[in-house]
Amino acid sequence: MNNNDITGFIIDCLTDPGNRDKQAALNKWLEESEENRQLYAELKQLWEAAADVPPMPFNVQEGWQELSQQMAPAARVRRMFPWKPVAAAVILLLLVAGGWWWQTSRNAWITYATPTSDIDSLTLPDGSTIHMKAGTSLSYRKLFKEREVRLLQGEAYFDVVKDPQRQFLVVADKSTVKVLGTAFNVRIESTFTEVIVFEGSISLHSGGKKLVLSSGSGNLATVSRNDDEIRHPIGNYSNQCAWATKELVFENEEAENVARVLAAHYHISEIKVVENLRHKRITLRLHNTPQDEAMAIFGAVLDQ
Amino acid sequence: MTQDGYHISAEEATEALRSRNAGVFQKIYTAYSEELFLLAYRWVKDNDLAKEVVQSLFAHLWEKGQQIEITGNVRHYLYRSVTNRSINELKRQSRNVSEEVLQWRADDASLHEITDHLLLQREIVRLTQGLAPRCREIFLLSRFEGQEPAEIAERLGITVNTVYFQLAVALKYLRTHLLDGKKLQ
Repeated sequence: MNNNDITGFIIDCLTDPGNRDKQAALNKWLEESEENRQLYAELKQLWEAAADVPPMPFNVQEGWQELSQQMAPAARVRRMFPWKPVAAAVILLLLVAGGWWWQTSRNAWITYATPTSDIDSLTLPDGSTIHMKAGTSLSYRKLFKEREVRLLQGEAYFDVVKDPQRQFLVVADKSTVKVLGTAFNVRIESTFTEVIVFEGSISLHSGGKKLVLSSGSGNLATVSRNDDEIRHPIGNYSNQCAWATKELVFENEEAENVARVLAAHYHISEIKVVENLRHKRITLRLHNTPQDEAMAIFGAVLDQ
Repeated sequence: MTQDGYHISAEEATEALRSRNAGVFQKIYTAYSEELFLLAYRWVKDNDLAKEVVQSLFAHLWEKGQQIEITGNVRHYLYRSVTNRSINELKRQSRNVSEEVLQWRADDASLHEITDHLLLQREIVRLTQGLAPRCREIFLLSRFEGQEPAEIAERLGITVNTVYFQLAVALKYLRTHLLDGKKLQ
């Protein structure tokens, strides 16, 4: 018997345990070698483990989305309405404690975590906006007199309103980004923190060192969690902010690279470029462009 | 991100529930929800009900996070919770509660054994995605839906031999990808 026949034979025996002829043949084969016994044991375990698997697979993504809808803060507020008498008492208590509250709330922080698996955004009291990827959390000063945000985890893009009187601070792990008015992306990873400047410039502080970072080439820096070392590679990394800015710019780049970035941005598995055009250098600017239109533009530029 | 969830300790998980840290909570969900679904299905034998058990457990953890203290191993804590919820749900719906679940003891040895079993099942579910469509269909009918080879042959209008052949292909594929020639257990 070849290997396929053996597997078929074993399945035959597993599905027909009452057939004595088959069981006898199986026992004879099992007695032949240790190898046979092991193969049988493995196949039997797989066969049986697969038997009580649910007919429909569990979709983790979908499940999380359903769950996060239940987790939305609005739902919790609604549930508090039957508690009116309690609320009245709480209000009274709040009035009494008002003076004390006023003192302490000046230092209070608000923590915000993206509730869904989608990109989320938040407008701060000064009008600056933050875009956040799923799984991001941050906190900011409640009274935003001092413009200070702490990125706790994940990735966020900051579009900061200009205010020459008040600097804007973003603290991420051991790094601090200081700006007056500009747009930049901060991402916390397990071993490093990364900053990309999309517009204007910022100053990055970490472990006593300082680096000024401006948009355009050389606009990315990373700070290692281990030793606070700042790395500042060459190149323009603005397209990595496209998830928030919806803007993609390619200048004199190989078609193959452009196709890869576009595919990632629009969540397409692959964009095929014909062999002889792969290394063609193209320049392309897309702003808030729907996928179909982007593909048409890319095709047209390729054919030029 | 998927991988990180397994390294979250009981203390970190408890802290995340207290501070309503959605990021960490999502990691825990992403890491464990699928195997918890498989465990719930093992007890309740009903797709929708199994999913409901898992979802309501996580909704409960989020809602009541302030009062919850996770101790020991996070996975084991979740396994115990899902098992208790499954039993309660079966009782509430006046369904038959199997001896297996009532007899099941949540000691370390049983927990490790069932973890291995559920992770094997999870891999099987994932790997079946890689089978050729016809082969996959036949394997799912046989294993997940428990149909006899003769029934499958009739349903699909093919010979019983073809069914055996495709089942053998599927099983060999699983064995090679899963065990990599290594010994089980």
